[in-house]
Amino acid sequence: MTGHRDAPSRGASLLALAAAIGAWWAVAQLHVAGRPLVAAPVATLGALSRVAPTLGRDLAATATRTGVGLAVGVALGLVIGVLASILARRAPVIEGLLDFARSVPPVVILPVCLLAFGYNELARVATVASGCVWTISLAVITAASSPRSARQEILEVAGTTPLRALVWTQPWESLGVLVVGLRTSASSAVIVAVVTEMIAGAERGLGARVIAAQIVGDTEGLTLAVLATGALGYSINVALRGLERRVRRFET
Amino acid sequence: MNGRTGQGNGRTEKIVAALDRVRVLGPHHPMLGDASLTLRAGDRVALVGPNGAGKSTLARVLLGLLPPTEGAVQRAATGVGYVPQSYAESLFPWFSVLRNVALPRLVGRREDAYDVARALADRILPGVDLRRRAGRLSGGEKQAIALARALASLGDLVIADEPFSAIAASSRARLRRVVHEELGGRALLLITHDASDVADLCERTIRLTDGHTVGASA
Repeated sequence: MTGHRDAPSRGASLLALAAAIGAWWAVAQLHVAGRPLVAAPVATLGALSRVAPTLGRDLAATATRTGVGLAVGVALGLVIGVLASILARRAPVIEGLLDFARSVPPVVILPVCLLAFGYNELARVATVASGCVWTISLAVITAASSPRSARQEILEVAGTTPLRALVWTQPWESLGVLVVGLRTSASSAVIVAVVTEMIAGAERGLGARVIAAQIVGDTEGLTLAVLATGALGYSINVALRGLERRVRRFET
Repeated sequence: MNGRTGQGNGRTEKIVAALDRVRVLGPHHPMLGDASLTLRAGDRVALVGPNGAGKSTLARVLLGLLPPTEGAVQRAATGVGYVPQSYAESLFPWFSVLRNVALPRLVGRREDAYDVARALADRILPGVDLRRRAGRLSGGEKQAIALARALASLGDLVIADEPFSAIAASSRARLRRVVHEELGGRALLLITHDASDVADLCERTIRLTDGHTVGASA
């Protein structure tokens, strides 16, 4: 039975993939100001062998910048979130302040970081981290402000202290909210890392590659850089969706 | 098995928990109005009544999980065994079955926690792999874990809110027998809609209608 259901689904997927490549080819035929918008699929594939080594290095540089910025942002966000959760019980305005901070687009923090740290790696990573820190802090506050769970009640009834009941339950019960926050932060981190490389420049990185390809009119290189950026964001999203699924299974 | 196993109910005059003219007001209507109840050691009391009458609210007030708006509450000492209506949400799905059952004794830092839990689980959850994560079990098995956990508690009182509702009809009589035997001298407040639960486990019935207790005197 399963095989019968899977066959048409695989066929439809192949058809959709072919349609997407066809659409890509059609868009590549469009010319604006005498130049193609994007390179055609075959030309892009042909260029891949030429640029693969440097593209790989740029991809690795952006991935590292994203990962380090995300890790720093998550670590800071957890600390700020825990402190804010404690303080927000007395001063609810703190949650509003964090929400305001989250609403500031991270890329506008870039000039601040450039002024603070100079044109260096620290400024780029700090900008990426700034895009994650508030989302994670708010996720921690959301998790901490959830009503007392049935598990906490069971522990309290059994004779433990409210603090110990919280320690036994809160980290596990917060995982779902934190993973959603992490996924949102990771999407933001990729965008901010690439835009930061485009604006502030970088020796290596997909953002810098996009700008360089645009300046010299290398359509194939530009198309490959765009696709590599998409692949990076998609891979991170798929990995974190998998993590979220595992956490959801773990929770119930 | 838990240090108090026995067929007799070990009744004494010691009051383990009591409510006196307790009222709980909800946001729109009273959740409990003028409810009184006294539970003594060894009491086996059924709390019955229609849905929405306030049975679970009464239990939560007795457990100290809900403050009364009016009236006096003599809460049970710590270590109460509790099977909540939302039994599945009360389990720790990331812990093993055994650790869930042992929880009240782990909280009480008792060395016999796992031995008592294993003995109870063998009776209440025969055939279930105790190393499995609790979240992976069926609804009926989860309710049985909650029941075993309540019986592993260290206090003088067990409050069970419809503890057999998800358990297969074929297993209920056996589980009622186990509960009866494992309670020992502890008091039981059993919230139920099932006449067989009342007949097999309880000596006294309290009816709750519109938040008022009827037949609550000891």
